[in-house]
Amino acid sequence: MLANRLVTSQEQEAKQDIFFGQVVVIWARWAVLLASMVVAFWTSDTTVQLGRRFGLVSILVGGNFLLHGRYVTGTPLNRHSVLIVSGIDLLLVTAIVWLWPPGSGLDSPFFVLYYPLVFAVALVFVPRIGLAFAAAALGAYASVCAATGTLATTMEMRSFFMRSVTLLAMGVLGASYWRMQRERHRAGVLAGANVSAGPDRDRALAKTTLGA
Amino acid sequence: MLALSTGPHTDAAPYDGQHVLVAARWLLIGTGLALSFWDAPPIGQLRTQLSALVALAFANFYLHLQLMRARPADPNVAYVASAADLAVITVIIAMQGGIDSTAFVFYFPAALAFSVAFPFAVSATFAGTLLLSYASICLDYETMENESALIALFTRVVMLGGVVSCGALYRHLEERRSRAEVPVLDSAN
Repeated sequence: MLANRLVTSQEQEAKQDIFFGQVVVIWARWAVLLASMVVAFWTSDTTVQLGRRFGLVSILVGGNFLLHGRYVTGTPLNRHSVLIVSGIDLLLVTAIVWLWPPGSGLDSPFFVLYYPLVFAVALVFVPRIGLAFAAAALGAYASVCAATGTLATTMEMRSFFMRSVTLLAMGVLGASYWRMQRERHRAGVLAGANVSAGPDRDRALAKTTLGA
Repeated sequence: MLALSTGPHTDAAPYDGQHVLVAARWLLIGTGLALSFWDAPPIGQLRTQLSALVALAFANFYLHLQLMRARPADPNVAYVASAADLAVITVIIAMQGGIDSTAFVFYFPAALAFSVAFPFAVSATFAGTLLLSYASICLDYETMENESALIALFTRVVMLGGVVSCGALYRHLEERRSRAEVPVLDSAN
């Protein structure tokens, strides 16, 4: 029996990447939110401070519960929604770097929260989106450092250079690995399926890959 | 030679992952060389840094040549090379004062590389060793008394763990997609 070779577009392939890969974004968010919650408890000096910070992080934790729940029940978000959520995370981390003690801008230890977010987006989205997200993260971080006046001395510029290079590297390397995986699929390493393309096939594929 | 169990269905160091390893290492070497001469440290420390970077460069050149000839390196060679990367970064951090060193950011691309290249058990071993080494270098008496330093250390450790988890998870997902029935592109289109 001849196996049916199914034809799909790059757009469909990108949708599959989002469909199956957004769990990586979800877990990156869990790491960032966990660290943010612990730090919120650790660094707050007054109940008002704790209430504000904990409240903000709790909203995002609740949102991630929803995302994770939708993923495991086989109804994950679409591409635009995942991008919006990732953008919100970027804003959150930028606000933390700017406003949360100890330190602000370059002196803030919380710039490391950008790394898993940038990496996760680079793995899940097409390279132009992954790299744009990495550039946006770097731009946001640079803006906060400049606004807080922490890019004045040579040592500070040197530190900023190291962080910039490594942060962009997360996007570039993640996008490179994404591209390699796509090329491998397209080279026909995988065997064609015998099921006709369509929603039934996508649901069957989702069950197989999600382990439901 | 060291050979860790990798499970029945996974390659020890798949071809795609080795490209990422080599690219990440070139990035570390290039940036390390640039930084060595930007506000250079004392001559003794500079010699040590440059010697380590040159040794890494030669090793990476060998791995890169193997990939260009479509002959991925023996997994054990990839493991040793990644361990050497992490060791060099750790030594530099130790020389620069532990928690005060800014070189820890180089752990991130190195962790990304081994998390997507190596099987989960190996990645987990590397990640655990990395985090324990970094924490043990940073946790001295002064750090324990300094709340800001403890917060910074905690955040760095959690984020490094997050990066490794994301890479390993993505690798696992791609392997499952490869084994599942998926449509392929018709190359004629």
